[in-house]
Amino acid sequence: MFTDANRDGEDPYGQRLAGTDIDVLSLTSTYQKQVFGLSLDKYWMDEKLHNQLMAKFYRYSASGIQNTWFSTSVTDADKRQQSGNYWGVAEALRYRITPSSFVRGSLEYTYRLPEREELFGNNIFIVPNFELNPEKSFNASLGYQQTFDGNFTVEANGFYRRTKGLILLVPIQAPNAQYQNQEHVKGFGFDLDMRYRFATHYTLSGNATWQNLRLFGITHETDQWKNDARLRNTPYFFANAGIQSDYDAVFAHEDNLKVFVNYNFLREFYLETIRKDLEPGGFLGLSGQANINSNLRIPDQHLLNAGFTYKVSSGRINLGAEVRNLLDKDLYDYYRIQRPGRSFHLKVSYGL
Amino acid sequence: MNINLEKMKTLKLKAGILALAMGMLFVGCSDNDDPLPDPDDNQESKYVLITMSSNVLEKPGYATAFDELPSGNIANNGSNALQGFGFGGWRPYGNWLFKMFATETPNTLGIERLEVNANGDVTSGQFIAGDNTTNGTGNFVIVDENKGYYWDGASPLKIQIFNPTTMSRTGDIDLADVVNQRGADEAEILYRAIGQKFLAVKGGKLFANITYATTNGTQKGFWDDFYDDVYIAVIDIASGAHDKTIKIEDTGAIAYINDNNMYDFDTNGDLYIVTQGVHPRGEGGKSKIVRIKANETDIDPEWNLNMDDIMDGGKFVSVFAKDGKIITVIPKERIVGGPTGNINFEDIWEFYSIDIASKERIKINGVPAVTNPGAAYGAIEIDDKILLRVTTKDGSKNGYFEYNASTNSATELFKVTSGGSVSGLHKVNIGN
Repeated sequence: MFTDANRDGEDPYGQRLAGTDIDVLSLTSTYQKQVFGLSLDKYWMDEKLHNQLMAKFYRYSASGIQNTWFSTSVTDADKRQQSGNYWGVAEALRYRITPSSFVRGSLEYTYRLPEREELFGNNIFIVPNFELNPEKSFNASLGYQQTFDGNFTVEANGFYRRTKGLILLVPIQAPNAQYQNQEHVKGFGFDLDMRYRFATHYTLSGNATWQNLRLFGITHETDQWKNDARLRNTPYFFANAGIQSDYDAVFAHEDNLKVFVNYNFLREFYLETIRKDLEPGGFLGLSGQANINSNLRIPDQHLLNAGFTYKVSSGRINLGAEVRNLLDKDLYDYYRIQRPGRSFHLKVSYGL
Repeated sequence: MNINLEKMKTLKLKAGILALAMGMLFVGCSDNDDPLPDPDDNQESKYVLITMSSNVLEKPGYATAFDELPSGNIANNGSNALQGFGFGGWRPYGNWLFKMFATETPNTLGIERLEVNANGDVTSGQFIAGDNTTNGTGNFVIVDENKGYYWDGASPLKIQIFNPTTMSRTGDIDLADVVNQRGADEAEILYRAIGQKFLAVKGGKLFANITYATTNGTQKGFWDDFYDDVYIAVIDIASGAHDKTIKIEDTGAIAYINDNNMYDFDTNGDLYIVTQGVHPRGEGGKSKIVRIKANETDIDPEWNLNMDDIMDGGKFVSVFAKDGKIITVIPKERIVGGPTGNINFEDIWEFYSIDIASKERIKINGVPAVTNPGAAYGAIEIDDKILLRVTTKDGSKNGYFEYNASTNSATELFKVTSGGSVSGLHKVNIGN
């Protein structure tokens, strides 16, 4: 994968390169990212055992002006050229126990390179940081899948993650902020996925994820209470369930009608860090609510959607209708941004 | 000059009697129709502590109301603490707790009043919103329980009037003519404002800084002074008329945008004002503390503290005045701004007591060098105790120290072990 981006702009009232009339924003910031992957697949035991070893090479380089904060001229000394080369490796193993079941596991050591906007900032209140380092993480997973009678498939996975240098937006000197490598996070979780075709035209599906991602390695005395606290603004339990019907030749030869109802549940989560001992209790923390006085708690959310898609027999025209948030519940996005109430959507597409 | 005022009163504010007066006013606002009760018998005190839990742009944090002045180790993020945004500091007035940032939503500029009830519940109260794109929005000063002034970046040449009891805007004063008395034709002045960084009330007069800025970007008005002097308009509160414009000579960057208003009244009513200096990155240079005497409306030409005489490359960031002494922090080394600088999060700031008359300064014993108080006040007074905000880089100190004027030393009063770095403490009386 290759990414190559340049950015420049103009601000007639903005900063100038010291001793010149050169608008700092007119100086091009650059960002190049390349990710190379190489995998080796190997099969044994009549292909029951499959091993995949993958190496990834991450490379990025960025350049720009670092000190674009406050009302000051910048100099050539503020130009930065940052680059880095990183190796990642992943090992995955799958063993097919029977034709309808397998177990698999994986280990991964990887990086997340800084995104363009994290390096560049927005030149308003978020200033560039061309000294940002990639996030570094170790991931492990173990899963099992079984299919019963060709109609019922269930898959369970467990995972472990450990990430260092999480990139967060922090203030550097009011009113400016900058993305910096800040927190370390580790944790485990599991997800369950099921799909059941209980009649010729009807399928039930569902999945659920629970994760226990927590901060660690905080040594600053003022912040030590955050050790083992949940990662903020990150849900720790969410689930989906749905039923779908699928009929051919309903009104005409070769047409198709799918009708669906989907339900999503998002367990409460916290916009900012809260103390672990104030978290909800019960099995996996799924009962009640956190014992805090805060509107930064994003409450449990229930979302019900229903609709249909219809493909006319020509195959070129598709019609779709959906009612989202059928129950008109209060819904929030990350950062507690309100999401729409009940809404109606129609979609017509024509394939050329 | 256009004036739109509902009601004006002259009120002489004396710092020493302010808290008492506010306490009585609040009794008067009680629903109880009985004669005014003795505040000591019928009012319960709460000591409200705020902390900033994470050094991120939104300034998340907590507020807890304690029944007694905290001591020992304190957790400020328990189940009874209000969690919210904008807890880098506050600007209390009597029994009122005001912040320049909203609690419920991040990075929202304006004026919010926190509420505290007899059960010790702290809640976010009413909020006066303003232009959210210009720093300085929400800078305010209060005259009395019915009147205050604030600045809104949406109308930079006006000073807004509000009622702090109802938390509603009631009018404005258009001061465009006052601002344009100088520099109207200067092409290099790209932004003008009045009251963006400094609003103070003294002796029936409103004092408001006039911004003449050389930039008009997102950081307009900060470290970009056009003139070598800082101009302050003096407005008669009773009539709303502009009396005159005074100036602080040879300095820049008066006060700042945060809740820490960077001025204070001495016991005798003298007003002491911080200017942060002329360096374009806020690194000082000609930073001063100047004075307007109690019965005067001009900058005292006979007195100032110039940081250049104390610490080259330093600046003032806080002032507390009482009984002829100033308590402030002075950097022990040249300050450097920016992400890797020492200005905010290094232990370079040392507490000093400065005798106003002689300008003799003495380092306060028993207090380590601390980080920049920033939006928080460096020193406060509660229950006749002078308390110093002491937070160190490693967090080993994070609370308030009690200052003993007779020995010029301070001892640790309490330490916050959970909830973040301390950013404010204030005592309020709760009517029963």
